[in-house]
Amino acid sequence: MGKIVSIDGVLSCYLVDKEGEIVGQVGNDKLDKSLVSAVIAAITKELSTQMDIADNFSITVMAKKKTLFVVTQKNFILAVFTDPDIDTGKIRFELRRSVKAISEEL
Amino acid sequence: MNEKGLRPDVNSLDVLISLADLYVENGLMDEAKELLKTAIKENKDEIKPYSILGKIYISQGEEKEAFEILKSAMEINPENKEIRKLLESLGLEEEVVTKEKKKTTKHELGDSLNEVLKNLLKIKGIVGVLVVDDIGALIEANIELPMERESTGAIISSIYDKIRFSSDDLELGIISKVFFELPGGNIIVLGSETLRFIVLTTRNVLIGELEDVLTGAFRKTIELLGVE
Repeated sequence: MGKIVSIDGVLSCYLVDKEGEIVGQVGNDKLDKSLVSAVIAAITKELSTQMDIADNFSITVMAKKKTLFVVTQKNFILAVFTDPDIDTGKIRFELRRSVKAISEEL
Repeated sequence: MNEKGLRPDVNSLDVLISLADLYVENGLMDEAKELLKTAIKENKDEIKPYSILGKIYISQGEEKEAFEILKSAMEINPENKEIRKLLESLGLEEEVVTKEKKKTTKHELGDSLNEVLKNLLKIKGIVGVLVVDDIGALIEANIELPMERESTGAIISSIYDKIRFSSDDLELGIISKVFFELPGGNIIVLGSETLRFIVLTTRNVLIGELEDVLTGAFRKTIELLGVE
């Protein structure tokens, strides 16, 4: 996660379990961490339920103030907040690498 | 500087611009123009020499030349305020901006909503397009896949809304686009207050390459439906 946050334009990175509990967080934002992890888990659960997909999906939200990248795996969710004008390709590439590394570690 | 770092590189942009400024100050307009043309040739993506050359042309009443050079600058950066102002002074800003916007859509969109959706489906990788309102009710759809249109639109719209309503908690600001990468394919949602423009694509499609055309199609849809 530290590597992702070191990328220019990345604001923070959250590792969340499927119940919405925060496992790890890197970066300096002023967000309520518990709220963020709960919201992220709720969004992915909604998609998972509605679409009948267990895991291995990702969501990218492009908004005026920030871009949010969310990747779900079997046991965890990785969420990254960035500046809105970030190079999305670069972040997605790093996210894939991080997800693989976290999966192996867990 | 040259490779030894001892003398300024005579072709560097800063040097060329400084020299051109000096020529302008001393009334040597033709020399300044030649220098700026060289600067543009050597630094095609830098806006500065275009704007200075444009100003010189305008000051000399050479409107056609000014228009051509500023139009080139607009192609590099359509958002550049200085270039827009200069074009505005020629009374041509709107025309060029409109042309640029049309160019970014690259594909013919059509004159009816049905045509817009049909034309999007001609693009490789797009397998379905749905337009729903803010409560998820289907307005129009064109899908190549065997799926139920109403419920597909409603489900995707409800997930989009869940994200949209979480925007304050996550301090995201107004959401413009959401991409879902799912095992069976991708979903791209462009939303406004009243509309959800949902595009279904195959898994291997490059979303970045579709952004312009989808934004153009979404704008066109808003225009055709006469909504905000």
